[in-house]
Amino acid sequence: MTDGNSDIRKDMRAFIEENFLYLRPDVELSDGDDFLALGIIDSLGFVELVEEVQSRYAIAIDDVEITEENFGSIDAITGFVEGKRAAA
Amino acid sequence: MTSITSTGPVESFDPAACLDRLASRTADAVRELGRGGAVVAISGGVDSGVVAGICVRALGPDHVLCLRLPERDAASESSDIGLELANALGAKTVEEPITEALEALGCYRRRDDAIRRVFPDYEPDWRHKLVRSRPTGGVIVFSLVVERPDGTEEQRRMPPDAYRELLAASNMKQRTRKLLEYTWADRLSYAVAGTPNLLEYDQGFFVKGGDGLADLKPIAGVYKGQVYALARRLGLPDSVASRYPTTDTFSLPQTQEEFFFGHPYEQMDLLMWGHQEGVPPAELAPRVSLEANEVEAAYREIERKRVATEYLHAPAVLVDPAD
Repeated sequence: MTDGNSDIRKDMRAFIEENFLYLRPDVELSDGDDFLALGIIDSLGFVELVEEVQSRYAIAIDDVEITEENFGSIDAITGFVEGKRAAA
Repeated sequence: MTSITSTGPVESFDPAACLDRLASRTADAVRELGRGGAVVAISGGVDSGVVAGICVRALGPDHVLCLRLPERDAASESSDIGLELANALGAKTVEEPITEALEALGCYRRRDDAIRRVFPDYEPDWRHKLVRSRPTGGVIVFSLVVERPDGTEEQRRMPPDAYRELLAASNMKQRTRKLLEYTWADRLSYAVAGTPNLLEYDQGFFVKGGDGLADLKPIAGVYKGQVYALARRLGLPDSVASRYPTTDTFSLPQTQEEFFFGHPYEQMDLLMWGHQEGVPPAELAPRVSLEANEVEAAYREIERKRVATEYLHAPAVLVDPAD
């Protein structure tokens, strides 16, 4: 695991906990947990995540990239951001 | 139109029997509520037309008020179609334009502010609408479409805060209409009849405290294709009975599928019915002109929308109810 990778995980976890889990102390989120299946983030929440990733990492994200494969879990987001950075 | 020929919610439907049942139960509901008639807000669309027809059949034309509530962004012919409907039913009708009330409440200003977050050079005379992404069973992305004065259209993704701001502003229209429905219900001692059909009710396609608020909902268990069959059975004017469903909320013409459902109502009826009946996706697919994986995606979206809109259906929580 690279430092960049662990920073992305830490940043995204903090963002998700602050924005989506602040009234859900019962949820213990693992990095591989599926946001939609857990019911903690809806479609609008996904777009919030996308906005956050765009501004935090200065990445342009196309509508077709807003999928569960890319944003459905902390693991997915981390992989997506790393892939974007590698391609840049 | 799809190539559906065998069993489905419309094929096995008996409109005459359904009308008798709905009229009888509507009369019972209004009586049990202790009211003397029904107020129906008629948009010119088929759902409200059928609800007005059911109420007239249940209660008699002298006990039904058809309210026409036109607004700046609604189709200009909607109120005239509503008048034609009320006259055909022999029901009372009143027109109460809501544009000035919405202006005073800041509906249009709030809407324009939200649009400028996405299109900073937007001017109020540009037409616009909200559209959703193609159904995948997963994430739905909303975009704003504007039509510039030269006729060119442009589409941009809506950030969540702008989306919520725009929706909150446009929901003022449904809530203002409901305020007037209850004003007339109070005045006449009538009940308010709501107009959601099965697809809208099940999937939460309504505004809480707006079109979702009513004392009775006669067609909440009726598929959209069945509503059209009821309209024909009731003999409603063709302008109502054959009108294609729109949202009539944004200034650019907008279908319900591009804003909410993702599929035309003929497909949506069958997808919902197939999901309810447990029809395997591969079996339903050819009947809705979709691939099996698209039917699977539609089934997933149906389930997720139910969960996502539970809040809209929820009554007020009694935090500390008396024993």
